Amino acid sequence: MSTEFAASESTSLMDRIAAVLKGVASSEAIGAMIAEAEAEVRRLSNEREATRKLSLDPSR
Amino acid sequence: MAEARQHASGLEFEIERLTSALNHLRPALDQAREREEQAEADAFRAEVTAERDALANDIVDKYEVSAREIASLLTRMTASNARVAVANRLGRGPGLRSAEDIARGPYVGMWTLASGVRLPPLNPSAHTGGSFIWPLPEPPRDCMTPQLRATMAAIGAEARRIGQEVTAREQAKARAGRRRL
Repeated sequence: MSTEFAASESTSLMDRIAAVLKGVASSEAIGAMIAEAEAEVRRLSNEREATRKLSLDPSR
Repeated sequence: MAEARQHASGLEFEIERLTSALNHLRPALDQAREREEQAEADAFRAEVTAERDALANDIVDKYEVSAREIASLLTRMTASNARVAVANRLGRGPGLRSAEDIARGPYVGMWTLASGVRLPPLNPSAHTGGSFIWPLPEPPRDCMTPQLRATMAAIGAEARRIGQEVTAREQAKARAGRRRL
């Protein structure tokens, strides 16, 4: 996955988070948003770790 | 390698942004839960209040009428029990069961309906003297036993007899005095 794609996906998520924080969202909607954001953080962290390993690989 | 480093840096930034967003979302979740619990409690209170008010109206409309109807039944039961007791004392036939006994069936508890039921009046000020719709207020108690009543009557009769005798003697004395003159 390219950085641009990851960024645009997160931005879309960030837009929805901003919308939820501005309005009067239900706890169910906010809970779902938190779960989605946490999953995204985990995914990005895994990707960052993979990228880091890749960049440190001397054979490449 | 530079591209990988740039990609990692971009990911780091996105992670940081999302982590920051999560720090706003978690308190928002607490507030939303609090808001929803309050709304739920408000709705429940409104429902309970409406039920309570309807019940209060029913109590005002129906309690006194129902209580007096029950008191009337209990009054009839008490009178019937007394008559059943009289009939049973005659001893001419098998013992009669009370109306309550027939209505309720075999009963081994300590409260009969007449002795167990308490029906205060609806209006608290009518209850200040401790009066109930049921049990009925007791009539003023008569402390005179039949023996005492008979003794008092005999004393009264004797006093009247003595009075009459004294009067008769005085009249006779007066008549004798007039004749001597």
